[in-house]
Amino acid sequence: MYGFYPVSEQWRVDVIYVLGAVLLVPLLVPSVPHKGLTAIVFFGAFPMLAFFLLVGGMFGLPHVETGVWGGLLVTLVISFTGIMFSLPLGILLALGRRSQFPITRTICIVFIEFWRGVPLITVLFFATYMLPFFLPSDWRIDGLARVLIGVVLFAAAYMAEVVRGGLQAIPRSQFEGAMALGLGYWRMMGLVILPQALRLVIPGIVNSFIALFKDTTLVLIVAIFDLLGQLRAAFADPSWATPVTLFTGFAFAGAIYFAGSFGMSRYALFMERRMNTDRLH
Amino acid sequence: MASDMRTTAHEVAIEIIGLHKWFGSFHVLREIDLKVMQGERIVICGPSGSGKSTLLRCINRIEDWQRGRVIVDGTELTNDLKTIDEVRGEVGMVFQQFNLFPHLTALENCTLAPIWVRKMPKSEADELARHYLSRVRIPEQADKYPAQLSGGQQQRVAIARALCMQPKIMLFDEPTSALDPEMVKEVLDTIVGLALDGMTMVVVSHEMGFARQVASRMVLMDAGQIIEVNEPEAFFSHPQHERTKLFLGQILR
Ligand SMILES: Nc1ncnc2c1ncn2[C@@H]1O[C@H](COP(=O)(O)OP(=O)(O)OP(=O)(O)O)[C@@H](O)[C@H]1O
Ligand SMILES: [Mg+2]
Repeated sequence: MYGFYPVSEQWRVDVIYVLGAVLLVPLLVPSVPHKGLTAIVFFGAFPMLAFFLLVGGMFGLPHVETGVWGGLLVTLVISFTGIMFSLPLGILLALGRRSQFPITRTICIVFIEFWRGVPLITVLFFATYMLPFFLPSDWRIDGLARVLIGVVLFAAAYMAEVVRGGLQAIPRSQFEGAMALGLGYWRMMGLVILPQALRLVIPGIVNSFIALFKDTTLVLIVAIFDLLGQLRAAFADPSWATPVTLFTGFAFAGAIYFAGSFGMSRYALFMERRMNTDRLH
Repeated sequence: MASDMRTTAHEVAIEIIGLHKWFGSFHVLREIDLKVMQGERIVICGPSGSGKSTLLRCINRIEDWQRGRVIVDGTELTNDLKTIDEVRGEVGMVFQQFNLFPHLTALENCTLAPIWVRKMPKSEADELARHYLSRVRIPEQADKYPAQLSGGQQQRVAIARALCMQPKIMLFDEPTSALDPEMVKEVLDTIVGLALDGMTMVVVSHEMGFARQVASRMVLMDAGQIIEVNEPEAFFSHPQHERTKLFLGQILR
């Protein structure tokens, strides 16, 4: 649950878990009102609070190096950040790739193809071990932050292609209907095209989210201990090791990943049905 | 009836000068000149592929062109996006396939542009939308999604949606040709109602009875050119061009 987070400070992690869960429920249950407000709190205020609380170093909270974070905490932080930033960034990339401006288009295509062309492992290695050599030595970026940026950019490139698929499925007549009302590019996209395009690609988006959630295991290789990494570390601890620790441990970790992924996919299916019955397509 | 709807103002609403357009190497519009006065109702007809829709779509610059000028309500359309959106706010358009937004209700379809383009408060926009939905005689369908409406109802929502921007000019591109025969009348009646109120409009239509009823002038297009422009009386009883006779002969049988 906490990795090597100092025991005296673990309450901070607990607060984040509880707060996250409390906010997530009203966001996911359709009948609870004030969706917009909840979303702003969950995607705006909550991450900031989590950042200050977990990293500390101000308001009298002792600083906790991200190097000692671990376990489920790391898994959740990486997944949450990845999901939260890769979707908007992916949307922008997808729009850019279909832009009428050749420069924007080229930049987006190169970016997308580059990130899709390299394995995540390479990205993580590069971010962790190589990047420091290229940056000036007084330019210290936190190890976890580097990994997070790598994961976000990587996931955004995949997301961009999923979103682009949705954009392509929207008929020209919808663009024309919006244009004729004088909506302008951003309002046309934001109010007319994207709401329809994203709805079409919910399965693809969720697929990417699930892949991202499970890919967090790869950070183990660059010595950041996610849930699975934490487990391996625990085996090495003689006070924990029994003949069955290995199996129960892995089974437990597997169950957590499965619960997360399956939860996401069932929820997506539920939302899809709900939206379709709304619209009678 | 045409005399009841006499043009009152004498200002130019739309001016098209020497317009040429190519799709690749295909010359769709050739040397189009047309002046529409405020309060005038122009009905354009002509064979399929003659460029009627393309011409109409140049008026709100959904299509661009290679040569010539288009001036709408005193504003010349250029590449400037701001000008284009301003003109689009003044010009309502109704499409053959309705082009309603399927993820929004009839009411939301109508309030979208007033809220986001005109910055109207939501309550005011709702009221405006309900007003125009009553005007097209479907106030009770406000909360339905387009897929839950008949073709005729959808087209009337599309008309209400365009009217909610309170445009000075309305463009109709074959508004009834995707409709079942029994729904044609309800949509045409709506458009006649607008004509009676003095709305400036350009309509592409092959409904000749309707054209006779509302048109101030008839336009015949063929192969990207305007062949004949005439008062409806003269246009139907003694057309001046062979091609007009031929076309009317085919369509009226
Ligand atoms: N986006 C496009 N790209 C290439 N050619 C096009 C495009 N749009 C229309 N055309 C061609 O331009 C010509 C004129 O099309 P337009 O839609 O203006 O005709 P129309 O007079 O409205 O015909 P209809 O009565 O069938 O609607 C047609 O031959 C059509 O194939
Ligand atoms: Mg046409």
